Amino acid sequence: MNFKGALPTLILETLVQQSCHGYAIAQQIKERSRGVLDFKEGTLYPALHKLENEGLVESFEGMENGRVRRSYRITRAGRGVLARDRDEWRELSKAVNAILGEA
Amino acid sequence: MTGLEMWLKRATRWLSTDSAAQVCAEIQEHFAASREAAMSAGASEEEAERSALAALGDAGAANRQYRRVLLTAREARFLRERGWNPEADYRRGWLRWFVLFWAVAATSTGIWAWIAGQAFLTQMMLLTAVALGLCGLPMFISFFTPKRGRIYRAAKWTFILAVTIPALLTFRNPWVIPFVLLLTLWSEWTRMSIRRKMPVERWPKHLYL
Repeated sequence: MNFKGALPTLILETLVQQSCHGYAIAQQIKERSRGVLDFKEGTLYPALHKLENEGLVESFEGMENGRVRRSYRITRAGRGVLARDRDEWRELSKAVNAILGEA
Repeated sequence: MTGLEMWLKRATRWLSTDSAAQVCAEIQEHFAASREAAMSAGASEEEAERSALAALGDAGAANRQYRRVLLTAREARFLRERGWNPEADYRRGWLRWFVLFWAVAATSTGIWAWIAGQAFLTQMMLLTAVALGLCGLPMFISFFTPKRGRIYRAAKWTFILAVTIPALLTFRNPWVIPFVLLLTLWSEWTRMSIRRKMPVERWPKHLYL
């Protein structure tokens, strides 16, 4: 399913639960959507860089299984944007449901 | 060359050396995690590598997205070649007073020319005064914050357009003006793209102006 525009919101939503690295973010989105949102993982990092440039997430290096891994956490500004995106999505889905329900 | 190396070569095309190194590090890390997960689920090493590579998707599409968010080789060269630090230059006291002197001189000459009925000279002198004022303003007021930088750039572009549009309509050989304007636009476009890609705290000072 194409959800290119929603990817930054989904990343923020994943990171609001806990800080994690890129691979874990990709897996969580797939698992939580029960495989419906199966996106190409090469496009995850450009989205993460964009969020980082905008100050919505920040990255840090941590050790995991003896390997240095770059992980990401949501910032306060990111939480604000996520709250706004959630509201917008609820409004939009309500409107689309109203139209589709009429058909 | 392995499948991953070929993927990375395509995904990092036209990116700066630093950006390419960053992409390689994060994708290699991701690829290793993906391969390990597949192997622990029972896949053979070959199958695990194939599925990890397939999960990355099209390298060309990733490259297009990376170029939107990371510095390209051209932008990195632009930053290197224009390593000007206006804040350091503007601290020189003599430069401030030199620019201020000529701005005041141009304004005074403009006023005198207006009184004397010299319309063309009045316009030229006042334009010179505004241009010098725009150059000299950051020497007296700090514009090195995102908000102030935006105000300064808006004033700069208003002035550039206010000068070039009448000049295009007036001069006999107007091709020189679009040529200069295109060069300026190209430079500004590159600066705008760099501003979008870099966090504010990493901006060199000349990007604010």
